[in-house]
Amino acid sequence: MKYEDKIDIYDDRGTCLTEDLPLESLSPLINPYIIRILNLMKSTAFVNLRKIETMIQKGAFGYSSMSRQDEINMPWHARDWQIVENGPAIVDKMKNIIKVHNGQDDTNVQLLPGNDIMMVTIPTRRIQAASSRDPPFTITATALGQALAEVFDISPATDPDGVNIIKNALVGRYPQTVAFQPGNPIFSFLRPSSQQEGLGTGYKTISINQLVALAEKRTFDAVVLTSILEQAAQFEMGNTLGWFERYSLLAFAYQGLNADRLLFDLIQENKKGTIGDIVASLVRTGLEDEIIKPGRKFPYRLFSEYRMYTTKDYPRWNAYTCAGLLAACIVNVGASRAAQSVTSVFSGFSDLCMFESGGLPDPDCGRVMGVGLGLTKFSHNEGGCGGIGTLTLDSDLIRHTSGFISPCLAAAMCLDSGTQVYRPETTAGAFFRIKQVLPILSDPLKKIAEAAERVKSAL
Amino acid sequence: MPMKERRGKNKSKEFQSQFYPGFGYVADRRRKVVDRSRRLVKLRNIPDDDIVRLLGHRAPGGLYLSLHPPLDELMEAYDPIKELVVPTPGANSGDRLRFVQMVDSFWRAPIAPWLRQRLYFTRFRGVDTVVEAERTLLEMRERDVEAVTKLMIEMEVFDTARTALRSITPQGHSTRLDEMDLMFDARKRYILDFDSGHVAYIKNMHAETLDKPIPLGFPVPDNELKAIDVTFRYDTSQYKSKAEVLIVLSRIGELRILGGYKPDLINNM
Repeated sequence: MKYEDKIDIYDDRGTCLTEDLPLESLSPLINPYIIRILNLMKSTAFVNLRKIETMIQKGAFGYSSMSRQDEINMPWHARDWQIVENGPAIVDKMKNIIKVHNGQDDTNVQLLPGNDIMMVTIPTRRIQAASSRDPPFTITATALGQALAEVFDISPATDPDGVNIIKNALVGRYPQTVAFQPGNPIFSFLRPSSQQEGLGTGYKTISINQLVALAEKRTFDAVVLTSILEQAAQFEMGNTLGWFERYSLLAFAYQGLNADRLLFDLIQENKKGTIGDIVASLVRTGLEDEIIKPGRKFPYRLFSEYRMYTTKDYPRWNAYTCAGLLAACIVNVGASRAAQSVTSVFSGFSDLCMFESGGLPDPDCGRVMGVGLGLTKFSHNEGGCGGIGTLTLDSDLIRHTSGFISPCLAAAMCLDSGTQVYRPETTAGAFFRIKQVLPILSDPLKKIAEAAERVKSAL
Repeated sequence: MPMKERRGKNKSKEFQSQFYPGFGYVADRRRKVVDRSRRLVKLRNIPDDDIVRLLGHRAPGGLYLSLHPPLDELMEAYDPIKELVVPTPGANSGDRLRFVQMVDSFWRAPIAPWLRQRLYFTRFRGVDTVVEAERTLLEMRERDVEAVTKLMIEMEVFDTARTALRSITPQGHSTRLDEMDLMFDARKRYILDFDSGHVAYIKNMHAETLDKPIPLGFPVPDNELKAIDVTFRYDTSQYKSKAEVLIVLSRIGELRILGGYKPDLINNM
């Protein structure tokens, strides 16, 4: 075992799920459940059959925005293919095209409840042989094109224009563009790798609203899912190596997984309180747990009886402050039930926290405060970033911390009671239905704990 | 070792929030504003309807418009955290989100924007605030924002001459004082009533003319403002009393840089 820290995990009702887990068993490199979630994100694609049908029956293809489909309008090329009706036949054909060999493999093609969205799971072998996470897009588009051609009997001999229509409906103007265009009927959890900014930020290309929808607006579930993706990205981009591994893992455990019931206790203690109360509770908890201690004489004790605190284990204190930050966000947004209240907590909590703890750094050594100052400004009318739910985890407003901001945003969107223009129901409605066929995404906290139990003896 | 043994081994009895370092009445003033256990002094009494008219979001006596049904009637997904945290009255009844924007003069106002933000965070619940050089925006549910505005105008953190409610044209040099020692306002929202000596708002926060003026009371005299000033300067608290603040600020800067470089560097520092 690399680190000696032991962690207990508690769920959102405050009951203990497991005790004495070694810290490393929660690492995205080791925990089997986290690895399964990451593979799910990389290898799953969705096809909006209803949208393809509408496009083909109207003869409107290409780039589409929320209000209209306006790149190509050629109603004289419309076809009356009943795609949703033929969904089961398309699914069977796709399965045969995608699977690697004739025996059983983990290819899965199925229709979501409502029969108008198809979920495609690309087999592991295809993912392993790929250099990127693009197979969900490319394989699905090509397989669907072949399936449609077979089902509706289209070939250059029978219907030359129909062949072009299939291509345009499925992939738009690609490959003239770097990736499929916005509003494409084929989509995945993550964006294609050609639209990714920066090395190792692939897992951050999902938006907050989609994660909230995948958690069915349950606060702690959304926090866990967001934290998993954020920390996996931190591991991939090299931000969690050596000096920072324990730092990140501890913060992940305390903020994302409610370790030692710190987060839950802070919320419960201050359910009628303010952000200032959370800061006071946090520092008192730190004192009681002997993470920090007040100075006894100058320069740690000033003449006005103001005391500087010192810590013998800064990574752990940072994890405590990150948990405090999330608790402050939950209490503030839980009071106003409006998601926009979350942004100013980042700067406010950090500000109060570092003066209260006598100069010990605020969460993530000031990076949270830096992000908070920009985010408050731009999420109000002056900047107009369009609501925090639409931000992806790698949005240039929130990408600069080590993954401690986005869980707070996800929690805020869960607690919102319908004040936002871009709500999860409007921008990520399909993901609520996707959740229903993916039982792996329910009770993530419990599943992480069970998976960690299984591997802890091998560490 | 299970949590019950690891955490809370020794209950801290004497823990008290320390809020802010420093000597003298300026530092003490900074501590008082953010300390919820210390009551702010009430200076004036403003009727509720006048607050509503000043804010200009709805007609006095009018209904509150709502964004969504009251929380009791709202169908929501099951979430223990939603049931745990207590919503504010405004959130409970599904009010719209409205705002109040306060502007503080740089010339000896009773409070400064950066401290105003801390006041919001420590005394109010469910706040959303943006701070800039001279103005502080506060967004809350409508009912809450009215309650909070009443509190802020009546208490000692408001001076009719050096603090103002402005939603438009709050900027820049308009926080200096004019020849009447009122904070200059390009929209002329308030005047000094020579007969009564009160400052009266003739326009609401959005600079729309009111039917009848709203008197907010006398400007606080200069010597009293000096006693509640929150700025370290030559005639309030001398530079020496700022020493502790500088020690703490430089420590924060140092530890942030070292800790951000390598977290274990600042253990035991």
